[in-house]
Amino acid sequence: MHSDVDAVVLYGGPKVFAAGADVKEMAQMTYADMSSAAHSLQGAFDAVAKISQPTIAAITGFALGGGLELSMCADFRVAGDNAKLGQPEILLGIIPGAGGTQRLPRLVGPSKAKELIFGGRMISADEALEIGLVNKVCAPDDVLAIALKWAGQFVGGPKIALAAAKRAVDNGLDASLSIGLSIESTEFAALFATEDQSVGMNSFVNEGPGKATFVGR
Amino acid sequence: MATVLSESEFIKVELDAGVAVINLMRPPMNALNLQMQREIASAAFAN
Repeated sequence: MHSDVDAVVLYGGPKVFAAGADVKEMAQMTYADMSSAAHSLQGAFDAVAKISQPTIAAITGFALGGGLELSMCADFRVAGDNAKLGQPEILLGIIPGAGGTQRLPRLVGPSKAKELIFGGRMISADEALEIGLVNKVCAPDDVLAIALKWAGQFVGGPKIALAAAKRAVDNGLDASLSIGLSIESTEFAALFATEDQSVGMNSFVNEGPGKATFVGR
Repeated sequence: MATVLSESEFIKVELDAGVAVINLMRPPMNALNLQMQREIASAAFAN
């Protein structure tokens, strides 16, 4: 994402986030078609997960199938209280193919993920909040504003440290604890080459916490 | 004032005060077809 960007909101509009893949299009595909397309479909959403800035999905209405998978590529999810979330692929005789079987268990744990993926049922925003699938629930009309406000908290932040924190968490979840700890050490030490580390630590020593004016370098 | 960072048939990215919004625009349900998925990837990679 562009270097002027401090945070990113994913938004599907006031009525729906995304109700799923285009099933009519996909219904025509053969095994040969899908075996060559599947990897790039997954890769398209993975590109969102790899955005270095903090990302927030602002969910109104349906986030189903590919829609939920896309939202799970964001760091945080804000949902309207009318939202319906789920991985209904099993009802179509298939399974999630754009990260759902991997990102859902990482967010909510394997058993709850299997419950949703094997059963295909839709859950409410409140249930999604309870299991940790979404971070906040609000009135549908407030979803975008709340997501933008949250994103705004990262504007003018220590951009390189935020990106390092994101990489450390995400890359660590891909690895063993010992590799993850090694990733953390490397990311941590690297920040001592940034101006923001110097600005932030000097400000803390002289003026206390939360007063630093970061430069994003 | 929002500026448009990128725009394709189904995806529009706007930047306002440091926050980019990736808008999904395939009404009525934002059904994610292959083209839209490619456009999402392009929007995420754009710099």
